[in-house]
Amino acid sequence: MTYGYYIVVGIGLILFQTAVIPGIPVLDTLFDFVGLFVIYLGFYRPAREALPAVVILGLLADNLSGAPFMLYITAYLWVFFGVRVLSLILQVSLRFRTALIVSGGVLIENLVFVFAFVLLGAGTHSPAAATGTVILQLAWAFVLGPILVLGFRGAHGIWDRLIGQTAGIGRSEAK
Amino acid sequence: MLVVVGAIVLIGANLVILYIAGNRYPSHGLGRIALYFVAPFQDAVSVAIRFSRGTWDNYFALASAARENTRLKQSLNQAVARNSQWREVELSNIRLRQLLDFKTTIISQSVAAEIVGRDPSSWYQAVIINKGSADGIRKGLPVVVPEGIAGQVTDVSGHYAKVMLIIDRNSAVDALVQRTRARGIIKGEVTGRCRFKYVMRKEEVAVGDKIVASGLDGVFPKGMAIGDVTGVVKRTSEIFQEVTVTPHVDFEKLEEVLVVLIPPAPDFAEKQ
Repeated sequence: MTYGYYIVVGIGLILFQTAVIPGIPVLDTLFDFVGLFVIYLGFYRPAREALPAVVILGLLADNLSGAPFMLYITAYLWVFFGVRVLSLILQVSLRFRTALIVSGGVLIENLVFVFAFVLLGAGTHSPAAATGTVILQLAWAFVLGPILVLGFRGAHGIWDRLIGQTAGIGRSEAK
Repeated sequence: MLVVVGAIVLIGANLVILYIAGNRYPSHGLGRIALYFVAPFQDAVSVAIRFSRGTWDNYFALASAARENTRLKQSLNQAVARNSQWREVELSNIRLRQLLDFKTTIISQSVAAEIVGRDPSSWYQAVIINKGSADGIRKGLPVVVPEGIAGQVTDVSGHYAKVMLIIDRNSAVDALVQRTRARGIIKGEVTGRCRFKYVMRKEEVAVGDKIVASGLDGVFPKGMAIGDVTGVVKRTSEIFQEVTVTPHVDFEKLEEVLVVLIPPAPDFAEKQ
């Protein structure tokens, strides 16, 4: 049931990112929404359950992107594990803990991309030119990220309840 | 200590994988899964968005349509008069083309496609189009618009294809300065502009010069427009000059493209 949620939300976010956002220029500087979902998975879900979803989301993003193949899988795995480490390091009582963890996740994803730029022989101008993009994404992530991550969590709960009810109705009818 | 060593090993392995994977196009099935399963949904969403936008625009356009109608009627009368003169010119043009044995124009050898999805990342510049191998699209084919070169097909499924735009940092186009014939390579930049690389410092390049495809890469048709030179830096210590090019194509507003169905150079196709 949980995988159904991952598939629906994952594909929905990929469609939103690739088909809807490009038509709204103001949102161009926003962070990667699929990456944000990976942050949610890393923060709230058990590794065994979430890892296959992370790999599949990375694979789909790799397919649709002009990035070198496996860059997204790599980035999402680093984000997933980075967020888990951050959630262990940062105290629960810390103010803005969720915002810091989300921003940390977005920063890790961007660092992987910058690293790939340098490693795979991009022009010397590229990383410097991209600094503005990274800062903007971090700012958005700090403000919007926690709300969306909590939204994913809430939606997951609703999904589980709805599916549970549907399964319950099905079982009682069978009896 | 063990964690640090583990992390270093992991990063090292990761670097090797990325380096190997990044140096070639994904020509295997794994690289096309999303083109088969996600692109149709992208197509549906894009159609829905276009329909909504069209309806919205048309609604507001109605208000000014009456005024515009009057103005257009006046323009039409003038245009009809001019049209008869141009018809004569067109006929003479056709005769002269036949005389010079002109080849078929690019437009007649191309397939029109709509963009249904864009790159999920702002770091790379690729788009998904709604035409694939069933329409004659193959990997390596050039993609153009009336303003100039847009990109190149990098992956194809049955009904969809991925196109790398020329503003992507992995893109490279062999190009010329139209005025002086100075040669170099157009490479994409994160900024959305291009850099005209490997142009010798002794070559004459000035702001405002037009850059066109040289045709020597065997992919893009010779003479296709690319962009205008918007910056030139000549450093005394360097062999090459630094030339910035602003593409003619507005990639933010790109909605339809033409895929030119001319065969790419054989060695390029084999490398895929």
